[in-house]
Amino acid sequence: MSIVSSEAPRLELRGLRKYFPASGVLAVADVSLEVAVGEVVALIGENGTGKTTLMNLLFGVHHADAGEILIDGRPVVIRDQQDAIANGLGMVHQHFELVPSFTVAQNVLLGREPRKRGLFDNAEAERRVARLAEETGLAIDPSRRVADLPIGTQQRVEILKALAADARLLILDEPTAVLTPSEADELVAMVRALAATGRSVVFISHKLPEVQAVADRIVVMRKGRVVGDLRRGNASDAELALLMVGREVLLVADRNEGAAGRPLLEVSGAVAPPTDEGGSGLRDVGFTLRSHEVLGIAGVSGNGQDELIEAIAGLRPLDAGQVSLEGVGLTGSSPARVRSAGIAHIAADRMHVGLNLDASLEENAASTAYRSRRFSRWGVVRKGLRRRFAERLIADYEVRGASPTRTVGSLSGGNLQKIVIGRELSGSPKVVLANQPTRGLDVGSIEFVHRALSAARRDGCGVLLVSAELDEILALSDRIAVMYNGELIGPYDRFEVDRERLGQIMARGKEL
Amino acid sequence: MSRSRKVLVAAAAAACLALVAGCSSTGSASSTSATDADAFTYALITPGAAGDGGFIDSAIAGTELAESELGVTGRVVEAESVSQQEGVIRSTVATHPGIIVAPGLDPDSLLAVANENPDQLFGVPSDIFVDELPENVQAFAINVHESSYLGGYVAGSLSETKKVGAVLGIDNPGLNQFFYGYKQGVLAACPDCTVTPSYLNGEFSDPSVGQEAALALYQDGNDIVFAVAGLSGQGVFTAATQEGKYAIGVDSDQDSDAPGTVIVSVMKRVDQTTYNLIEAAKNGEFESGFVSAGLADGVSGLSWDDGSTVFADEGPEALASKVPALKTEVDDLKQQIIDGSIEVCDALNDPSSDACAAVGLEG
Amino acid sequence: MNAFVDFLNSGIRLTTPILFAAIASMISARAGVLNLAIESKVLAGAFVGILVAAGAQNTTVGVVAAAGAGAVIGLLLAFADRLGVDLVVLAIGLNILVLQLTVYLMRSYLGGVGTFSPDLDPIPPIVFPGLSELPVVGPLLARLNWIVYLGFVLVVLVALFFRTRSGRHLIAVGEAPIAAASAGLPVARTRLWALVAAGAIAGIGGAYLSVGDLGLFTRNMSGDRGWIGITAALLALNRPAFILPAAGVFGFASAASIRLQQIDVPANLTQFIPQGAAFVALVLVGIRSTSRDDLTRLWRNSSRLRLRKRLRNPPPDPARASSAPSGAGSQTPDEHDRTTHH
Repeated sequence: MSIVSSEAPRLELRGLRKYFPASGVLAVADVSLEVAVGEVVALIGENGTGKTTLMNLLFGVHHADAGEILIDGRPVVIRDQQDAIANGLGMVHQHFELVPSFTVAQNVLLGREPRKRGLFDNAEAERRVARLAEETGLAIDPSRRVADLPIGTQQRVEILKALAADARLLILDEPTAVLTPSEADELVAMVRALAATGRSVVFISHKLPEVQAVADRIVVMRKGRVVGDLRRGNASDAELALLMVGREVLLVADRNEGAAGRPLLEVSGAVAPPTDEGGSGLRDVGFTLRSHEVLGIAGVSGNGQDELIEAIAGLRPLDAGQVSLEGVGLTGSSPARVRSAGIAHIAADRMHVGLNLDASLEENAASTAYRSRRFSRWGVVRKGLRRRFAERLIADYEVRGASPTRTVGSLSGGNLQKIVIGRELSGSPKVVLANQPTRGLDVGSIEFVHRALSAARRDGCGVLLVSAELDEILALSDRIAVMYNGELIGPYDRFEVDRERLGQIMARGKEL
Repeated sequence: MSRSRKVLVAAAAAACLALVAGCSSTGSASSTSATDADAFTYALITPGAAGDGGFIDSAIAGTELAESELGVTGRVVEAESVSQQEGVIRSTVATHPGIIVAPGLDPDSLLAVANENPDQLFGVPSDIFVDELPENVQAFAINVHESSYLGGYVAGSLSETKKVGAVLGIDNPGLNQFFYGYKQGVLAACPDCTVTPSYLNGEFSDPSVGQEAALALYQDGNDIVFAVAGLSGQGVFTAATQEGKYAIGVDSDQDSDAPGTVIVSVMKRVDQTTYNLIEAAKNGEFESGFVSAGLADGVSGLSWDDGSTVFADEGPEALASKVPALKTEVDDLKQQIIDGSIEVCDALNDPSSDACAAVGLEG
Repeated sequence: MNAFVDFLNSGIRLTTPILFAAIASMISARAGVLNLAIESKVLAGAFVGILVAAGAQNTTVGVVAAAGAGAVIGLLLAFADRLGVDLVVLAIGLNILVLQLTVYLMRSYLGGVGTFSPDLDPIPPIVFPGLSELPVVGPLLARLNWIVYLGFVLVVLVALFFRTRSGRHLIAVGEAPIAAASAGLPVARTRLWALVAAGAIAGIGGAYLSVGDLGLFTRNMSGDRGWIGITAALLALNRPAFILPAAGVFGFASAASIRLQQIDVPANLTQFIPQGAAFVALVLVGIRSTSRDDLTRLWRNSSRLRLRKRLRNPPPDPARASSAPSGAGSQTPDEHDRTTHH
């Protein structure tokens, strides 16, 4: 497929090294790497392995202590982002850098607008972008306002922006993290098409299946070093995962068998309006969650999952229907009452709902139970108890880089989630609501979360697991239901369904 | 952490700067000289910063006069918003001045504190709109309708178009006391004249709006406009100058603000009443209740009475030549008002009088 | 008929200072700054304008000085912006400071207490030979000086500017500073120039009040025109095409409240017109939820940590980087975790 020619590589890194003296971290240790013309290289690795530092060296955000960067065989010095762009590098960040009220053409040509009689020539801009889109196979209407476009199309605008700046090497940072599965498939096709035009692509990701689909070569990084450089098809997912984490990973969490026990959480006839972000609300949703059970809720995001979890957690009023725990009605209860009844909530948005990033770890750890006897006497928070709890949480859950009194905002996503889970599971809950508990986490952290949820199930909890990752649902759940347009389909016993069948239900709301 | 700190620093810095400026602006009035331990002290609480060009500045002038004439000491406190006033009055009471002079404050706050502190004397140099006063409060009611009558008489005598107007800061009884006295005076001099008011929405410090209002009156054929609108009145003078027409000033002697254009000013001597209050309290002659003061006491009147000859000297010959004769007429009318042979409509205190009905005020 | 033309003529004059304030607010808003210091810029312009005009006995020099005074305040805001000071807090402080400072300076150095009225002829109106004698056009254009026409020209100039490359860049900087910076646009410099220009324009609006029409300065003479200008810019959705009618709503409402009294509309009714216009305008703006988003976004943009520090001078080491908020693209989380591998 790819055009790998005999000319000099598009990008060559020779012995790059970056040491951060203040923290004593060797972020990039002697990395050498080549990307050929027209080649797609996937760069994979756990969070914190130096991938981003490496890219920051390329874009002049940091400057290497040692080593050389060569572009088309020519050594270059990159002082800042503009140097990088001038050298034909283009970066597409996870967070798009677009002007929402501008059209596609105005965004793509921002900073290099065509002019006619001193004024911006919009018609010419649209002609140019249409031509570029046609050349590169990235179909798009240049006159649409970016704010009106779906995420996948906005990403295309970002790519076009880089291409309009004559990028010959495109770096895509976690490009599929924000995309729907079908958009992700389209992206893979687009990347292959770009490679076919002679452009090189570096594809940063930790989703192994898509990496296998898109890349000519896969480069694995761990602890600032390149630990693997494999041609496509030469490594299985399991082997890649092993390279990334340096130890065996349970890609499928162990589901300790054991019959589900007594009914815990019962939801019946639940009806709720949609979220502000445009969910689909709830339409007559009912199910029973038992002890020693994981009930997986599959489905494409925005089909009512958030509404369901929030309704149970007391964060959202129901228009109709009942919620009860062990026969005690909880409908319309405050979040505090729901918690004290024994329902723990691992919120989907750990940055804003799950944690207060500006507060210390110990404050966060005690935030959902500060009135309980675990942390206070006579209404006064006892800081000693709280400190000891936080210290234990850090040790038990291996929260790296944390101290009880430092704010948690500086921690990585995986470590933040460990704090949330440690806090939520510490109060011996009866039911755990886990909404997208592994979204955005690296492989090692995902494994940790899965083990924690399995342990909760073993201890007798009922776990309601909402996830967009079908593999996660299949790996952990005893029973599986699908949310589609606000309705709950199922639950099915784990052994009644497989990927294909669930996929059909997720897509259509019913089986063929 | 750094952001919230910076916000605080910015706020504190801005507040400090504002404070420095604010303090300095009143500093000249409060810079007391001799701190004789036994000296009689006063405190002046104003509902705004100095520089209003109206009763606040006038009251401050009264305290300055008292300091130099009577040897008293004291300070000026500003309480810009009504919500602050009660607190400011209380904290002032705590310093035990000989008298608290309080022009234009919220009457409820003032009387509440006055009732709680019967030993503290309070003086209101001009107009407090309540029915009853506690034993420790003395309030002046200045009869501006009488002096406005005289101003109106001047306007009615000098108008060539037989149309005169008035620009007033707001439509309320306090300002209508000026207007209906003025109107009655105009009609006394010129029975077939029309008198048109123009109100400014409470804009007392917006000369641009005063200018437009006056312009509208001049364009409508009025040739003399009475400006009862604080600093906005300056805009009336500008419009008069630009249009070659005339104006009448208010409160203090504004004749020289636009020489030759301002014919005369209708005086409301808050400086005098402020001085009187401090003097009475110092000499143990304080009497509670309302004190009506006007032409007879020299507290209201025309700038001409104080010797202003600006218009006579700089006005156009045709009008300026009429001033001496007119002044004699006005002096005569003033005497008749003091005698009681002329009753002037008082739109503030007695709006249902016959005199008011005669000038079209619906009591 | 004549009365109506006089009303329009008066409305144009009353609109002019509001128009300048509105243009200033629009430029700031488009550059991503919620500029609440317009009021102080107008007042400073009015004060410095008349002071310099009186000193130089030249109104044009006064107007230029007024623009300079406004620009200096704009510059001050831009530097504070660079230091990461909260502009909303600073602006409110500035409004109080300038008001008190003018009163203080008047008292201390100009002898006046509430009014400074130098010996100065205000800017004369422009007389168009021929036109001024015509029946309707003559009175309509009477008593309008060059600053009035400058206001109209400025609207056209700003509209054209927004269609130039630099204008597009200003809008991009205001709306998506990170996107603008990554496209190589000088975010800080663009904001600085926008604030300086807005200050100068607001200053000229102030000069119109003092030098332009009255030839005197009074305490707080800006009379909330800065705030009205901000409201007008909001009502115009910060678009040049709507800025003139939006400012006109307030100017003509004020004129109507004065002029309607001449045809015996009761004062207690006419008093309500300006407030009523402001209220209706704000309700209209409120109904358009998109513009409310604009406002909240502006608020956020104007008071959030400066991206420049992240983009231009990235933290030299991860330990310090870890105290910065996340969200600066993708470079942060990776480094944070590095420390954990020890």
